[in-house]
Amino acid sequence: MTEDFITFIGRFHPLWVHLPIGFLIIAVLLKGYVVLGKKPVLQEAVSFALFLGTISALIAALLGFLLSRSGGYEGDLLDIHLVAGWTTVLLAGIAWWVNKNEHRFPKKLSYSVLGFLVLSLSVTGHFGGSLTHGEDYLTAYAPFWGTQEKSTQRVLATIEEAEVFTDVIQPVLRSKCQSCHRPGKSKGELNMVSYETLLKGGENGPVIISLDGGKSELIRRVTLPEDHDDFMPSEGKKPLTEEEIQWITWWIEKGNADPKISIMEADEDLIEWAKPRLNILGAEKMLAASIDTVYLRTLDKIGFRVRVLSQKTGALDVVLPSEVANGQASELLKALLPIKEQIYWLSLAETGIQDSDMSLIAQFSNIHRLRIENNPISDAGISALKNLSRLEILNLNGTKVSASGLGPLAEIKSLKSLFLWNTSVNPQDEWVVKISSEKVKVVFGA
Amino acid sequence: MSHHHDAPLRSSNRDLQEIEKNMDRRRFLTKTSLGIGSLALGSLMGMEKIFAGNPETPPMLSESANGLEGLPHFMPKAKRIIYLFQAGGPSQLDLYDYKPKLVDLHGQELPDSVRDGQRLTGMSADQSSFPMTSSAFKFSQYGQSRTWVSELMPHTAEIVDELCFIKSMQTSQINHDPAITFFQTGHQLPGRPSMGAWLSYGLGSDNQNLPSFIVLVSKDAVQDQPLYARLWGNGFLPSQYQGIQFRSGKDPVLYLGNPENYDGQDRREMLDYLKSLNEAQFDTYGDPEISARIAQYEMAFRMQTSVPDVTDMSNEPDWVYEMYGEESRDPGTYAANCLLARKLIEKDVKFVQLYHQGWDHHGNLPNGIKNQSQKTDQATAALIKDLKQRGLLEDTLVVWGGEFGRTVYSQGTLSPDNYGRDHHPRCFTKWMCGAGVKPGFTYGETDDFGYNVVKDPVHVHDLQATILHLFGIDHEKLTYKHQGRRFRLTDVEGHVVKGILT
Repeated sequence: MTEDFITFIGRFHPLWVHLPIGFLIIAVLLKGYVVLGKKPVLQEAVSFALFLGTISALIAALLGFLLSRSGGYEGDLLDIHLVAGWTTVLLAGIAWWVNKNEHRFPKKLSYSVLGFLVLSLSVTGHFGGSLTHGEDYLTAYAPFWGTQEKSTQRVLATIEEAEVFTDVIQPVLRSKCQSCHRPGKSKGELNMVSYETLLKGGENGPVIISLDGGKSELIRRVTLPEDHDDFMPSEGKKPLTEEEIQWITWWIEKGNADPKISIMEADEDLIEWAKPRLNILGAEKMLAASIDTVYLRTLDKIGFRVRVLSQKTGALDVVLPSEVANGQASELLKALLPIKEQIYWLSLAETGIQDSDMSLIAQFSNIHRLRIENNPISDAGISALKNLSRLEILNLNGTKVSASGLGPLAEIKSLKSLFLWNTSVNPQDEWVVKISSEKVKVVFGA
Repeated sequence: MSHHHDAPLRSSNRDLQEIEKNMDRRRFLTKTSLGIGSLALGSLMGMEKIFAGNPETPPMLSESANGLEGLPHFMPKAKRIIYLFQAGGPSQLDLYDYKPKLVDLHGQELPDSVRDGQRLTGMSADQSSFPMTSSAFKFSQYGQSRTWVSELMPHTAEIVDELCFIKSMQTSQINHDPAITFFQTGHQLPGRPSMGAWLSYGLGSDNQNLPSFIVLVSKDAVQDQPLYARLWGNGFLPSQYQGIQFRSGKDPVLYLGNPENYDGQDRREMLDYLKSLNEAQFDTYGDPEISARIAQYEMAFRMQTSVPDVTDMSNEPDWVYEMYGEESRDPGTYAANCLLARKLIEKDVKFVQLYHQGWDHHGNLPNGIKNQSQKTDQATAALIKDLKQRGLLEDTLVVWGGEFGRTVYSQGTLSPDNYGRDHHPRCFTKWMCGAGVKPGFTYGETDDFGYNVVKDPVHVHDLQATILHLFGIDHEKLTYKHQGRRFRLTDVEGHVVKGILT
């Protein structure tokens, strides 16, 4: 009961602390005005503000002391904050005394006491903030020296090396849980920084029951309705996403909460989700080109229809309508070179492109779907396409290709569908039969 | 910022009073307080344009109309969709959901344990007997997928290896209008935006010369149950996202040609002036409907050339008409609409919505469904084959189906050669085909009575979530704030049916 009351009172600390900060800062500013603005009449106000500051700082410090007793805060941060806080109270009191009896002390003393007061106030405030929000809260998103989350992700040689706890769960806990459940502020006596401490659980016992997601407190807390008292993360902090919850559940239920289990054992969907979040050496950079909207608008003006397929990869779907091409396709295509890595789907149907344009298209190395139907393209142009190693769908309807010229396409391992309607190729051709047996769907007329 | 302007506020203006009335208190307070702050900051920094990219600016103001910022949420599979809506509720038991055990049960009373207290419609609830009725039509297996199809759909039977059947569809509505409204807008009451409107709003247009959402209604259908334009309406979305219904006849859009003795030379100039007047009006009032009006004038102008072009059937060879069926030569029929749908898709129209009415067979089902099938089967199958050979099925999704299914028991008297079936929301069959869905695949199962789903139920909201998913949209994230709440197509439900995705 008394403990609850102490906690209740203590929790006014974060609310109250802003009051002394305000009083003390206005006192310093007023002092500046008195000296620089030559307004000695206001010296009285400085003293008064310092008096209020001292009293309110004392109350804040007492409340803070009560709050620290209610648990959940510990470690170096708390000690520094505590000492700095009391120092501030002391310095505020001295400053008040010195200013009240201004004529009895040298001016320099008054200035330096105020200087130290500001310093001590800042230190107290900063460590108080770090206690509440986490140590890297202030600098996490700083543009130049910030410890950005990415850098904490370890580098992996291959995806197979990735371990569920270290590479998937840990980063989730880091961003969503550890601002409260960490050494120095283990709310509910739960410290989620390492596997061992996580397994140990908190004041209500373990939070992870291996093989049983339903009984694991961790899962229960993050899947409650958001307005439930027990919901985590609490206090309007960003909740876990569905995939994050799925990963943790999978790890507990299927992975036996084994920290070393490989992520490859999880469902495909989950692996797909995790992939771009891992730091895999030499992997295709997922956060590839950013989308240059100004350039896309230029393409739009030329008459290309450009559509963003994925904001994440910068993948684009580009269509050159035949009425726009108007015999100029070869020239117009050059405008695509600045975005050549970003073109995933490309349609140049009935634009009049020829064999000579194929080498340019072959530079669009990320093409997955290519429509070049109804163009005067022959075998000579096809061989250039064999380097499109990500090509899945190729539409050659109404082109002049022949069965003998299609050979190079067999080198494209990613190819899934090939359209050869209205060409001289026919379904019985040996090459067609062979490639069909290799899981490429070859489509002729109905 | 659109709500700050130099023009004096004329409160005597009736339009303005209307807008003031429409502006609720909270919105007013947030906008003004934000506004004062940003005004102050703006004048401090001496940079008027600093807030040019304000997110409060209605999205349709962006010139390219290329959809919302941040969409698609992930890599899409589909680029366009043709929705072949079979209005009235086709009988799954006579078309695709084969129930051999019903042959033995034919004429027997539907067990109460199967019906399980379900409330029936007023049309059959008072019947003294609910005789289970086996289909009068023969089923056979087709394709490599060995899919059961009734003899009513011989052409569709040829393409089953392209189709993904969902046998376990469910809806919460039991009457036509609420059920169709539910399918198309995610809610049984009118007023929400339709699926096509949501897609246009979220993803924009792929062809600025044509509407991104076009509706074709068969003229050769039995018009037993009405359709309303709100089924392709924009609801509370800005009105340029509504579906544009083409007329079912020779001229799909009227008055595209210029009147006699007018060469149309100065129309562009006229529209430019009109646009500047409308823009001035928009600057004063900030009503998004003014932008919608501007967009629609411009679209109409471009449609003067694009529509005659895309609806010109003269360059289609005879074999195409033979494939779709002879009725396809008669504009406005279901067959002709299927062909037109292909042509619109070729021009990158995002959403082509067909409606074919007349599937509401409460009585005389065997005859009725035979006629319906004859009118739609060949053209439907032809559309799929045609899209496939052109390579368009790779990024086009086709959906076939109605608003609910039909009961296993006969409505009215069951006679040796005649029966009827009432509305049945608990199970029915839809099929999808093309971009991103498994070909030659059947998902979900109903019980031997064809009454309840026993495996993998798919609710209407699930289907909607799945369609949006194929377009790269997270159905929970495509929302629009209206009357203080964020709305979405799937309301507060919907799960992507991962089992049917490739």
